[in-house]
Amino acid sequence: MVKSLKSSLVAKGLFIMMLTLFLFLPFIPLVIWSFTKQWPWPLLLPEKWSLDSWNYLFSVSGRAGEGLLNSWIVAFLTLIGNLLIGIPASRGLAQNEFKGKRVIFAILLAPLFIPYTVSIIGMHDLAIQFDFLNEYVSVAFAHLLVTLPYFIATIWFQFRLIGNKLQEAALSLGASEWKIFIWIEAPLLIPSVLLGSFLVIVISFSQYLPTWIMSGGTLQTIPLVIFPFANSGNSSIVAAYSLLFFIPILFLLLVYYLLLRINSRKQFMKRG
Amino acid sequence: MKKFTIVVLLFLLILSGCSSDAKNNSKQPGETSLKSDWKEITAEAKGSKVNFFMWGGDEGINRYIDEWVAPLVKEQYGIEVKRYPMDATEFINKLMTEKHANKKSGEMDVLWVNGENFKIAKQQELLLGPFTSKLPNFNQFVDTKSNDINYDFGFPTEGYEAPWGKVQFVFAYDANKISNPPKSIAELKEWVKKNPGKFTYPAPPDFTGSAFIRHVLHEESNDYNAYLNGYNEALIKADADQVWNALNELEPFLWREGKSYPQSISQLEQLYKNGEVWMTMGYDEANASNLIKSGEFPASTKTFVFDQGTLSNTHFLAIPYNAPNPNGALILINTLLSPSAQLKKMELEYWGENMSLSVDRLSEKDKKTMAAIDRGPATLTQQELSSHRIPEIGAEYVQWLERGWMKNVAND
Repeated sequence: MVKSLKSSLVAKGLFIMMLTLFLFLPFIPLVIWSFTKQWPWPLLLPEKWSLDSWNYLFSVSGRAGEGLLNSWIVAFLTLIGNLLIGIPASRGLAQNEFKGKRVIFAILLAPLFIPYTVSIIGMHDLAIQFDFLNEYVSVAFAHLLVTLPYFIATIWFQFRLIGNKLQEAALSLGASEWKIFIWIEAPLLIPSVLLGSFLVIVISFSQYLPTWIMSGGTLQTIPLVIFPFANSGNSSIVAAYSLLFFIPILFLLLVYYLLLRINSRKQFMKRG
Repeated sequence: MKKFTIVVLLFLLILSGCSSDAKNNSKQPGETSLKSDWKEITAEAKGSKVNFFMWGGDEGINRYIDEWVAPLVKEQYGIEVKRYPMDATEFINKLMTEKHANKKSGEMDVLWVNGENFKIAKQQELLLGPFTSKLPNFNQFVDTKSNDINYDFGFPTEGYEAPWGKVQFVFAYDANKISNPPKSIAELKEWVKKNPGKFTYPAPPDFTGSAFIRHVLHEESNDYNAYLNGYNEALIKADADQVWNALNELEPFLWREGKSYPQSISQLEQLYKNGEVWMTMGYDEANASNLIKSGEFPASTKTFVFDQGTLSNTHFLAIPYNAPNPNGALILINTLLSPSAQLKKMELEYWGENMSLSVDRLSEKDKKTMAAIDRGPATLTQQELSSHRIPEIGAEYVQWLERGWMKNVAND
């Protein structure tokens, strides 16, 4: 028994190590490239190292700070929009039966299936009409369209899992809809809201075209800062920017797990 | 849930309230600034912001604008310069959409255009109008009569764009491997036969590869000067066979026996860095020096031009029809055309590119400064370059040759 337990532990450890390696392997050349200007093919490691790319990133021209800040502001606004529209929408879809429900569901999820270019063309005209809006708001609006399906799909599923029973019980005891939402549904929704929010922020971070079109290229988020270098063959700069791009995502992942843990502990304590 | 809807609506209402003040300001239409004199323009532009849209793929160029030009303009005129990286094709498309939607005030003040996009922009009336005569530095330092200022790839500029810089095509080679580089297409043919596999050029329509085959046209055509006038298909048809023959004669001795070509200049440079080919080329006479400095090219790299000359062209700055700040745009362009800005641009520290001003018109002091600029170990002298210059031909010929190359050389 003990022996097989040990060997299974070893196997597990090996598996996790392999998986980590697999996930981190692509990052190794990125890190190396960001510290050198020249890394010709047969060499295992570059001959000359330099900090030039990182210096550039944090210089006036590099706009790393500006890009990060703008990305965060837009992602935050997008998240607020998702919370305000996505939660009621998925609640309605999960708990009610009405005519045309499938159609509405399909429309809400449409951005997932419709080729990007189609919706982008429409967005282009929209951008000019909505010129009076603040840049951040109009870009967040475009991101909202892109992220909403992911958010709704996540929350909708959780609402289905919660079902109607608890709410009906509360209703029969005279609770209002708001009270039901705040005291019963909201706490049960937390894990999926966290996951949905994480998805929304990460997807918002990686948008290039919607940002470009809605702001006319003037709102420099991280993808917009990176893009001019993507075709220039300057691998070193691209590598440095890509790493910069991953830092907030890793940070978010940590926050997500932390919040999830705090939440589940709370639930456990309540029950205990 | 009704309350919820109200909250959502309220939120959207608040959001629509926070429109940016920059866009709502009533703007001086561009026409008035073309009528005002320089003093009024300077006074009007004070405290404003200029948006400079330009290709952003080079650290040195970006740093030149952000670290040197922007602080200077801020100090001298109180204008904030903001650089936005964007490809020329993208901002011309953007401008077309805006024109279509009749958008009166856009976001772009100054554009760095290339010949092809300038032609589209001018034909579709996307540009503000003739403005170069407004600029004191243009009138004082630019040779306003010369062809490379008045034509952009064969298309008349008519003051709709101001010359920012000049570049010349050069070939680069590793002096450790080649002692006597070929100085003409004929010599190149001999050289590749002796050194098979050590030369190639990017496949047109790549910008550099396309320029390379125009050098073949220059040396093989009966009268290259005839190409500088309007488009005449009969003319190029008559010369085309000689061009394809020369290129097909090279082909079996190229890298990989000409079975494949590098797709871009960065691929060709990669082959050169790896030592697979011994020569490279580019539409920038200081590029090799720049790459030696950054450690990407071997220090033994040198450059040369053909005895009969290499292509040179001028690149320009334009102002779109709906520039929100045309006065600021004029100030910025004027500053970029100042001798001090052009001399700074020539230094390898930022860019290393040649000036668009006429050297004869510079002050003695500036001439001395210019002579003292170290353009890098691989860059040819000004004398050598300017005595070996040939003009560009019209964009229609360029496209005709690119299509013909696919048919007669690549698929042959």
